Amino acid sequence: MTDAATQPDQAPLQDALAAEQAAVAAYATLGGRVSVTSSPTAAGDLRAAYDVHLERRDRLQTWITERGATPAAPAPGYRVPAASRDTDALLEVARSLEERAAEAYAALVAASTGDVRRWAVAALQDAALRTLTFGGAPEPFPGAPELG
Amino acid sequence: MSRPTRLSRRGALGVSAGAVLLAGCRDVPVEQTRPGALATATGTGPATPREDPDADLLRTALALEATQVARLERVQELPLRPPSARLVAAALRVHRAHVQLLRGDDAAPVVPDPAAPAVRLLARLPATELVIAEQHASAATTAASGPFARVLASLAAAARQQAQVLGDLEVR
Repeated sequence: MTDAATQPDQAPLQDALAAEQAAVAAYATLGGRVSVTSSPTAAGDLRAAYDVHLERRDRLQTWITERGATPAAPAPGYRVPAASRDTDALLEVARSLEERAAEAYAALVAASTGDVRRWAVAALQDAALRTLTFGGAPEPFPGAPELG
Repeated sequence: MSRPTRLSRRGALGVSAGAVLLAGCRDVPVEQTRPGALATATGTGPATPREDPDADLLRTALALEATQVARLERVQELPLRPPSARLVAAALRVHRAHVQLLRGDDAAPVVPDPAAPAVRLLARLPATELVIAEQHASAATTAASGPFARVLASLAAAARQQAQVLGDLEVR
């Protein structure tokens, strides 16, 4: 557990929460559109990503609450730009979700210390690897593209 | 041949890189904050009692990246098949970008030539990437500067990506 001295500014936590809320909603949509029969690997990867982001969303909500703040409510609706059931198109959306998550966690690293920063460092690495899982290419600066 | 590691003070402290890399990390010019633990690049100016708390982390990160560049350059001398050659070239671009960011306008750090044969270096590339990732991640958790921690965390994530893709190398 973090103490008061290691509490980050609330804004990066709320930003990361917003990214996770969007990811959870989007992965739920993507998981409903991918064919488990014809694309079992993609379906499994999307399901695994959903589970991870769900856990992170809950963790962020807990941290924000523990700091005496109110977790921001999810947006009333998320537009998932994948109308088709084409697996490649669905995975492209998943890549963009992971890239956004990576940027949110990079920001959280900068704004936190202690346990929260350690957790954000690990989450950034996970998002970078998941980007590869969904067909992305390695980058020089995951989560911080402006450095390149 | 083994050459001694030599990292300039400016590079170690991120002075020249500071405008981009460490913007906002420190509230005073780093060149004015370091005592004489490291020789100054210019040899001018009095030392002051304030030391940059992330100097060692920056120096270590730069050495890790420069060493990996040296390994990859050695591996590139092997007659690799095109898919593997592309992976090695891409990894080299990534780590050169890291070195460039960390050293800023300073001269490239000099690191020991890889002692192991190129074939062995090739086989161990994924493992060395994982070690780099772990060290950057550990440094990120302890850095005094939040923005610098973000840089280190990004470098760790990049090395993790490389560890994964370099696992597809064909080692003959």
